[in-house]
Amino acid sequence: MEKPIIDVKHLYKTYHAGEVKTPVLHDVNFSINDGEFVAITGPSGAGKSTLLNILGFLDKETSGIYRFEGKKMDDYTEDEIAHVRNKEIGFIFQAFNLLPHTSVFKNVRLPLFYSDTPEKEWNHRVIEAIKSVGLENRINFDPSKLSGGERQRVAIARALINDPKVIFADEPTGNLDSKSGQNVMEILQDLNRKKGHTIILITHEMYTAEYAQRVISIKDGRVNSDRKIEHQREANHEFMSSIENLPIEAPLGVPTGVSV
Amino acid sequence: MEHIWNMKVKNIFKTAVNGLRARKGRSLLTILGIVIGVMAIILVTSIGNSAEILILNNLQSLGNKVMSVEPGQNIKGLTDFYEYFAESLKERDLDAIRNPNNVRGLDRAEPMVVFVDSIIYGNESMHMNIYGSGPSMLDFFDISPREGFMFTDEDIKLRSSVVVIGSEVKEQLFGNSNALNEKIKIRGRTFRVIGVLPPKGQVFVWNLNKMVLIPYTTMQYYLLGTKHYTLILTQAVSESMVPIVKEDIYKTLRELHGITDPEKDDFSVQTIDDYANRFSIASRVLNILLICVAAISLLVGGIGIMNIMLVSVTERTKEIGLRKSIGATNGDIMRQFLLESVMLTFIGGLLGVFLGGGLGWLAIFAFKKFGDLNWAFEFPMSAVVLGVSLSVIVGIVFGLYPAVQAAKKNPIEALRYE
Repeated sequence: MEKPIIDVKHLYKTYHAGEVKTPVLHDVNFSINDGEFVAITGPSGAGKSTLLNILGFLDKETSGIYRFEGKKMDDYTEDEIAHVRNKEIGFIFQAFNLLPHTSVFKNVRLPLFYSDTPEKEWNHRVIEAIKSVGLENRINFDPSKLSGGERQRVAIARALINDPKVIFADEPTGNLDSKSGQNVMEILQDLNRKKGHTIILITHEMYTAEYAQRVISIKDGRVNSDRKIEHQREANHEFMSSIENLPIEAPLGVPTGVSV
Repeated sequence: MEHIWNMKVKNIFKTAVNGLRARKGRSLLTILGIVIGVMAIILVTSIGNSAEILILNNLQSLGNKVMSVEPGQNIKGLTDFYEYFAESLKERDLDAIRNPNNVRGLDRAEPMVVFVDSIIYGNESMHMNIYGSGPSMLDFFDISPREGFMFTDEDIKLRSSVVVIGSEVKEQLFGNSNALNEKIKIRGRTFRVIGVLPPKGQVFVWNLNKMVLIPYTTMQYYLLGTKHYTLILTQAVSESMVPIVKEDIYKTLRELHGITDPEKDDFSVQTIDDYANRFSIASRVLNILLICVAAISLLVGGIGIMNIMLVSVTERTKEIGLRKSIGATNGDIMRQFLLESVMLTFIGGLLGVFLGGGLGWLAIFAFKKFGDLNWAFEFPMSAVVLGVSLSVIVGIVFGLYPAVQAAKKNPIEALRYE
């Protein structure tokens, strides 16, 4: 049996604000294998985001063991955590969190600044990532000039740039209209099926959760159920086929000699 | 896997530059304090340096063999000449100094009496310094009249009402017509012009082009009614004799005045070196004082930088959270913001250098044109180094706290910040 990429045992999380203690997660247990597409659902305030933040190395558990790729999170140094955030993990947020006044190209390129990838590979990688989400014709655009769906796709490209093992998505369609939301889910399914990324998705909508293969449901900070989806929702592949072979613009502010 | 410098230096620079570019207007205002502080340092130093060179050159123009015997206690700064000791040098002192039995190695000695008044010729009048001296005074300046003659020992004895004038005085009073044998009035008394000096310019504190010279006896007896001298100018036969002449004059005059305690001297002998030193000390002190004031401006500027960087950090909380979530370490964030503030202050320092240099050049240009002085602009490299390094230090010191605050931000809370 292959080792799980994510292994959570007896995880607890309590927030301390001065004297006040707010327990959020109680005795959470599950494991996720490489290549799975898992949705974590539950009502608002159930603790989903907290769980995702811990899994995504943005937060630390109060007690319990979280193993990522077999290594306990407690054993990671600060610098190693930064490395995991940079290389092993890609994060997609509900609010996109793009850098304002910065082009799509530079937004997607950002994680490379903090990596040890040689610079001569950067331009190629960025362009490939942008192509994979179909935004070649927006390469120099400022986020303020993009639609919600386009912004999330930029965020996805950014999350992919260092070829992470796991992609965490926190309500990725929460701020999108249904069409854009479907496009995003199509991209995620594609990333999972064709490229083998492990995807962990948070959503409070069962409809969205059914794009995944497995659903873990959280209630009051505990795992309520953990089951495989019988009929995984198929994203129609309209979007992915439409973005093949789009013409590409030369990125601004990039040294010449870039083969586009 | 070692990621001490997670982000390469070049890219940190790029990130910092972009951060500053995004807020150009605010950045410029922030560094105003730095700009002014450094500009002040450069300005003060460049004008001060040029002034020092000018004056030291002037001192040299008199030659190293000259000494000035002056009344009053040893001047240590800005004292008022007109105290009771101001009248301590008189004829017996001059005679005693001139006696080779008293003072060895003396080439010449001449008294000088000065007052300020108008000289009048017809409708023209000029308000200026009027000097009373003796025949060998022109030898001190290494000059002789281009028209006419200097007055003689006879004129001194007879208290003749004769005057020798400088080239600009001649220009202004007589224009192109002849000046010799013409009569000018000083304090109601008529003087005959017997000599005109060639243009020579500034020698020490005297502008020879604006010179009005009459016999000192005439000045004392007819114009001032006094018996004392403003100073006695002496010259040694050689530079090596200067200390001996100085010592002998002190001995002679102390004996003459009945002074046993040097603390109670009612006169002093100043060599050119003494003047030069005094001036250098005074100008250094002034320089340092002014630079301290400028440094305070830098300090205030630094506090401004810290404030603005703190605001900037708060404004960019979300950005910090994002960068951390994609792999920036605390160190990366700290370096990014620290570099921003250092770049800010460095640019401020450079701006200050350019402005200070430019203004300094302008000031000296103006002095040259309107002040009749031969100033040269000296670009003070030491001040530039000082100014720029101070501004970088300010950037580091005052940028550190905000940078650390930025580095400490928790990524989740930061991302939630509205």
